[in-house]
Amino acid sequence: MLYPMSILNGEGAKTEFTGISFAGKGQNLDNGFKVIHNAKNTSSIVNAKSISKNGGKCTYRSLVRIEENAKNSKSSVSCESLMLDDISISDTIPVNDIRTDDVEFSHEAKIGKISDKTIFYLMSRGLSEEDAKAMIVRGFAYPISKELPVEYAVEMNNLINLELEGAIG
Amino acid sequence: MSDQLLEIKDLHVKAEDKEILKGIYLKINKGEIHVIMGPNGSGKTTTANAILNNPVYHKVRGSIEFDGENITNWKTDEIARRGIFMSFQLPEEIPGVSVTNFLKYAKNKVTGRPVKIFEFKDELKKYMEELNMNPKNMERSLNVGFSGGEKKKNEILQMLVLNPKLAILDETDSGLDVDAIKTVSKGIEMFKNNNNAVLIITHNTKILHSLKVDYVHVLVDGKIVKTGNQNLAKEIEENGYAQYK
Repeated sequence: MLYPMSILNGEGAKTEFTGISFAGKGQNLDNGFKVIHNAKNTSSIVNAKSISKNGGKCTYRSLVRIEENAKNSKSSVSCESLMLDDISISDTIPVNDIRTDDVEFSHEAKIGKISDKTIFYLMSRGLSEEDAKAMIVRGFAYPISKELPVEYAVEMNNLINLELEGAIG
Repeated sequence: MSDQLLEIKDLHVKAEDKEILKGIYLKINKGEIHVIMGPNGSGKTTTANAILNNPVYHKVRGSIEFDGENITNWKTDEIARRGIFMSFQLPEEIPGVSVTNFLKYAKNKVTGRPVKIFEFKDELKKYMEELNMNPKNMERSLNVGFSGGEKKKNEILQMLVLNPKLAILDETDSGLDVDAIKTVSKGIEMFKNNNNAVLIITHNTKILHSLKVDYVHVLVDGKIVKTGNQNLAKEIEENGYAQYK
């Protein structure tokens, strides 16, 4: 479990959270983020992604609180989940506690499963089933991996490939 | 016969317990362009999917031979690597994977050789110019936010890059305007040579105005009921499918 937290106390303070989790068999990854907007003109951006396979479970839990004094603040939260099979689980539990009117707040959540049609499409281009799944997952993670320094991005792609090799056979 | 590329014999195919193909026979030689025409629901898309062995469709009986191998029960990716390509009616969207990266990866899988990046980019650029495609699309996610016409052109681009022995074009002409159909025909002409073949699946005859084809097959209710030349397409354009039902 991992819940980093930001408290925006100074006028114009900003925070940004980017995270990705990958839950395999027997894992329940419960991650999220908390932010308290406690001053004027503060802003926060949350971009969370999760992947679950082999019955793994990903839970996203967040709190965004915008206090009464935090006029003209902005917050944008986006969470996306990808499930690789029928037995995996994804939960999204966002709490948005907005105590003033003068704010811009958005929350976006998307949950999806890799479709057989997409896999067939990629296989018709010569990719094996494992290659196809890994490509879809790497594409899903790309908005996160492109933010990473290149060494880490390469490492993350390798981890995805390793995880998916285990998913089949 | 060394000229023979594809032979389908007595193919029966079911989808969700419903028999859709009821004994298809089809022979395609190198250097030929074939067209399968038929009304909606006659089994055209099923034929294409069965050749690629889409697991949604079950082969009950019959065989498919391609380039000297019995591929009836091969996996889709093995069939693709052997040299069959299919252009999809509704191409799938892959967020986060650019057209360039996808094609580079697929070409590597199909040829079994590493792709030389500069040569590859030049090749891609050349084809995109011929197909009137926006070069910016190369770096966009595959098919994501593409218009219907852009998706179809992208399928033709993939065909040119992957250079299969047999290209199956499933309703590639449907939903396209006159200019886009001409572009698609141009792509087919660029692709076509004496060592490969094209199978076009369509329910209208528009694309046949700008392309010379060798054989036209009429598919009705899961069977090929008539085979002829380009004149057969003209006849259907005038009289419809009713006479074959």
